[in-house]
Amino acid sequence: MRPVSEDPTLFTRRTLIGLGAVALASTAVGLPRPERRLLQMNAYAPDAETPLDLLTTYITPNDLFFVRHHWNATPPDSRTWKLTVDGEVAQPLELSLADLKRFPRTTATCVLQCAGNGRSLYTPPVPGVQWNSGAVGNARWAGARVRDLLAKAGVKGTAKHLHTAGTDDPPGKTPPFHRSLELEKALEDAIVAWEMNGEPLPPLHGSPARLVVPGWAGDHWMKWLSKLSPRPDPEKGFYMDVGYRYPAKPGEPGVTFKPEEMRPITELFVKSNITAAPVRARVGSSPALRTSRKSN
Amino acid sequence: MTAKAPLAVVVAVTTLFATLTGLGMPKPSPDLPPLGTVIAPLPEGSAKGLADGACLNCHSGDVLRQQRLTEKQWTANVTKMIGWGAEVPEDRREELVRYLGKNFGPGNAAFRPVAVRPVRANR
Repeated sequence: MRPVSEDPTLFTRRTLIGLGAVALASTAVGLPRPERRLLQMNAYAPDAETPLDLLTTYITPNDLFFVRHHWNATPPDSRTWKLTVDGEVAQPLELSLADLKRFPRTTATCVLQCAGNGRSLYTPPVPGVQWNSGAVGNARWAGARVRDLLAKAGVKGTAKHLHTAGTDDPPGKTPPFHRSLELEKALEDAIVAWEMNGEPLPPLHGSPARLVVPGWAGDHWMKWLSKLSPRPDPEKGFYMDVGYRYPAKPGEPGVTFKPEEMRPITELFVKSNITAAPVRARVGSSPALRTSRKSN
Repeated sequence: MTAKAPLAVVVAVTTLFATLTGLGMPKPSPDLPPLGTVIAPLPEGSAKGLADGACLNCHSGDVLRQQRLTEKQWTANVTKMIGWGAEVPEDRREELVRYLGKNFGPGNAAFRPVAVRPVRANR
């Protein structure tokens, strides 16, 4: 076993020149290139991010896809697993994986990003997993539309929020990861996915089925999904009322916001990563690459 | 690339670009440890045993070692975790906060995550 550390620092002029020299040398003498690997952020419960230099493909391979857990989870047995649909519905449902697969299959290629991606770059620091840039990936998800499942159950007009839960139980007195999202969004394009990049959904990514909420942060993408409940009001609890909220308006760094100034995280903000040196790039003195002129 | 760019930068950028784009995906190394098998110990100190017992039942020390928090932030987090079941005797709570603040304070060096093997699709 060979523990390998690596420095998550962004490119500086020195490291870039160094990398260039290493690249030149390794190309010349046929040395191995940077390895396919993940970066362990938490040995347990397992958290790991994708190194920036491997986020170079449109689809992120399953084995390089970032891993995120609140606590150790035991994925349910897909043969006995059931998805319950209850709440404000005319006819509650209990669906096995085979039942689920009888609904029309749909696919979506979309980015999954942890709500906390990039947290290590915050000044001043804030508590939580100190993700650098790699708690993000793009996959092709396949499954059944939430819209179709709720139509089958006969969702009522009184429902405004879709409550979701997974099979993972928290340790000790840790609050459960129970969540809800606006029903309107769920009906628009959310999927109960059992497939990720053409393979059965891997256990670490929520097998046998997880919620996929295109364009929204990962906290909505419930893994090991066991329940969908349309209800009039949002879910309550730590992971709704305290966690996964951003300030409604920007404020001074380090200033604490009042609870009423915070809003749930929903759509992803646009973020860009430079994973290969751009054309006409020039290296400045700041720890980031800057393009020397606009390309057009 | 501008004409003024130093030769070293031209070489660096060109070779880096060529390496990343022209030579395909690198191969995995069987030498890398699997995720979850490298467990780094918490630093020595009078409250190490306390921290081990209070924190490491539910998560590894990685998530402590990567923090850069003030004692005020640590106080809030210790209080939260005690509420969630972390076992810390009332009379040793401050000692734990001081230990965390001293080792994982704002001046803590950047976290160096361990490189691990890609996670097989259906582990």
